[in-house]
Amino acid sequence: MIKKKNTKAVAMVILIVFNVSMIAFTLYNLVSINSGKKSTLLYQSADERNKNYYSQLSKILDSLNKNELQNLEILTDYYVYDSSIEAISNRELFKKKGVTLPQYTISKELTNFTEASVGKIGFLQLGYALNNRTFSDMMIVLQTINKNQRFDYINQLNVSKVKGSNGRLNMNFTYTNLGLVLD
Amino acid sequence: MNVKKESLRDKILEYLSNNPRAEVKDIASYVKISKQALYYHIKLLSKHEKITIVDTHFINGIEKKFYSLNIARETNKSSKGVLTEEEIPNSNIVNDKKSSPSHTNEPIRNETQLSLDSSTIASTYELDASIKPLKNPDSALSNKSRSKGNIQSNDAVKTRAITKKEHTDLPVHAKISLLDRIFTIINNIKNLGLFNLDTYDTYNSATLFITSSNKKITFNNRQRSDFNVYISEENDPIPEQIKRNGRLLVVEENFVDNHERIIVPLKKEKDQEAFLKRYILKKYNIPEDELLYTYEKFKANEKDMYELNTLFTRSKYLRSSIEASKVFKAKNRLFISIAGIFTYYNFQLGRATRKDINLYLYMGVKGCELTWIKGRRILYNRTILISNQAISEASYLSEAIPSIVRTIKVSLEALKKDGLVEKEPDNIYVSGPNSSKSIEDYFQENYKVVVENINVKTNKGFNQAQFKDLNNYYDTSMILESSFSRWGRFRYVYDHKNKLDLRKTGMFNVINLVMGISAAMLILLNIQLFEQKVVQNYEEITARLSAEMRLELINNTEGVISNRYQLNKIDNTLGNIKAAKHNSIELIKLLNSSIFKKVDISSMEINATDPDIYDNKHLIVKISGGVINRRPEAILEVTNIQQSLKKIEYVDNSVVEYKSYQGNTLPITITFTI
Repeated sequence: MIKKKNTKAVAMVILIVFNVSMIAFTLYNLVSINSGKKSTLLYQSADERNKNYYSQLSKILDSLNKNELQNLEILTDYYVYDSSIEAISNRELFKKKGVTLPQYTISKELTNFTEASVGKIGFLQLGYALNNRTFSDMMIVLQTINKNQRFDYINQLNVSKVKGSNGRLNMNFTYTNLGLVLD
Repeated sequence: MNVKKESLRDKILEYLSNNPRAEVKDIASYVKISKQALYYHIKLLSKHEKITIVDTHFINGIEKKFYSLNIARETNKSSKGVLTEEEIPNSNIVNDKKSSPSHTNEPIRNETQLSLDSSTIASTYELDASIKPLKNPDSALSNKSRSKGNIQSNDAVKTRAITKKEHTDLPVHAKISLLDRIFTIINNIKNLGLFNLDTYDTYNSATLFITSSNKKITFNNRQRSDFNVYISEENDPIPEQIKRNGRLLVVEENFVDNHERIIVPLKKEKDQEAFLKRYILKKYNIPEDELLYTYEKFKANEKDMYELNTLFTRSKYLRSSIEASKVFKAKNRLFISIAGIFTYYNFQLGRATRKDINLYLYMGVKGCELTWIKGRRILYNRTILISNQAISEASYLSEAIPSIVRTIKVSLEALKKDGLVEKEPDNIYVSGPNSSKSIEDYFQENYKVVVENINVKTNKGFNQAQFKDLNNYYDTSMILESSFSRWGRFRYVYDHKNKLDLRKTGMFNVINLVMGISAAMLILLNIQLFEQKVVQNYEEITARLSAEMRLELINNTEGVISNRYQLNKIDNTLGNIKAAKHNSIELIKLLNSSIFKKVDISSMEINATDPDIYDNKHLIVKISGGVINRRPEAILEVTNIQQSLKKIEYVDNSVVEYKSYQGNTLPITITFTI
């Protein structure tokens, strides 16, 4: 008398499938929330450690920034050119001071060795051999370089007495000049 | 015996004089007898106005009565003393044992066997137009008052009738209010019909009751306050409100079926069905194609044995019901006998009464139905035919009572023999169009048990015209409706296959309901979880971005630090270059100082690092020479030079070495950094 309620059975199957999928979705959500929480905590703890590290870095940077880099600022006014130009410049400079420089040798041609905010920094080295010169000639050379505002110096100097010459000196030195390099 | 009873009633009155507002259970605990037994005495004392009901309360649909001494009466009685047994009149029913129809003198079993073809009797039955209305004055006053959805006793209804009068003028075709439906649901939940889907069916089920005179009484099962009953003649159309219901319960007053309890060791349902079918076919000689049966399975007292509690009939007895139900559009048509209905009613009496053995008497116009029920199990059922035609009330009583008494006696003996009953029934419930106060009183006094007329009395004022000749059936309709208020499980529904299909459908419904609710809950939960997930994702992304930004910041800062460090190094180197230039002059000054005065310098070698080495650009000085003409103090002089160099602040790593004298000269080598 009563027909089998297929529609009800179908509805039941649909509801069961729906419920199962909803339970699966619930589980997925729960797992997702849980893993999300773990991940958040992990990020937060890592961030906390990094925060401490960063504060230490900041302190280091602050202390580094205290140096005002005055020399680098001055360096912007000084350029170094290739050996021939530098040699002529030196010859003329020392000529004015009464010291004739002999032929130079290139100990090291102009090379860039670093780069700063002001530009590329390079240096060159020129070798000079002054024989049978007086002590005052040596002093003029040293004084001239000393008074020069440029970042140049003698990085190697050999002085020896000329035997039997009553105070004459043979002097070999390497002149080094440092400055900005033009591209 | 009388002395005992007098003493008991004395005690009751004594308790009530001290406790002017007492419940039956309080009195029962005082006099130390059961509540069941006490009701009899309480009723007698009430009847004789010794005590009176002073208050009633409804708790969970059950009426609680509070008794007190009837003061006016008590003050007058003084010397009268306690009511004696003699004062209590016997039933006003004359226990007339004179002539009864021949069929009532036959053994009861024969009266009700299916071999009796009652269709011819039924077809000739006509309702006696001379049937007088019930003399019970309560019936006019009482109201159905079923807002609590529980079955009420007459007294309970009486009390509530007064308060419910305002509903009497409600229109017959009024719609079921939403409140009513909600109330039905709440009510049924209270009755623990929670997982019965029919509980939630508030309007989709109707009942068709076919009277012995083939009139059709129809009503919606789930209506509450606007309970309307429609009466149609045999060929009259059925009201549309009833026809549109999806489920129809058909009960026929003339329907004849038989009851059997069979104990079998069969566990499988298919085996049980096959056995039952064979058993009935063989025992009752019914053609197989005519057999209609339904059964309920109960555990028997013996281990691994089952009681198959069956109701069965011939299909021809159901034909008129099927014919009558054809005009309905309902998809599901459930056919059930009056005995089956009583199991529903009995089950609804509550958990506390499940173990009670109750006797139900349906007082029909042409016959009676006698059913013993325990819980939801029919213990015994017999149909007693009284007359082929409607007769007067007096004749009816004189015919029916002796037959019923005999049947009770026979059935009680049979049940005692089977070990199902030990004594008289705990309660007797009377219903049906011919039930009356007289019958109730008769059984109460003769069987000393609580007898209740379970016909729900209602105020019939609003549609009295419908009931001018069927007024008693209105109450009968009400008891049907009350029984169906908690449907489900489909016990004793014809036929068995139909019942199983219904159960299956019900199971699907319940599963679908549970699934639907759980789906809704899961959707809500998932919405909540999804929100949480979105928030969690946001937090995770924020934490990740924050951590990544911090890392980026650290990388940048490290880069800046590295760059700055490099710049600082270059800057320092530049400063050191300037210092080195200055140091070369300082060196010449040092060589001209007194320290080197006694040293003849032959050569000097100065070295400094290249600019791409970030150091302090110290000058490494190596002087070769000798101390002349100072022998032997020359060594001392060398020591002095060494000590002097160590004292100079800007000179480090000073070493003065000397060799053996070469003539007057002590050769020395001096190295230091400046």
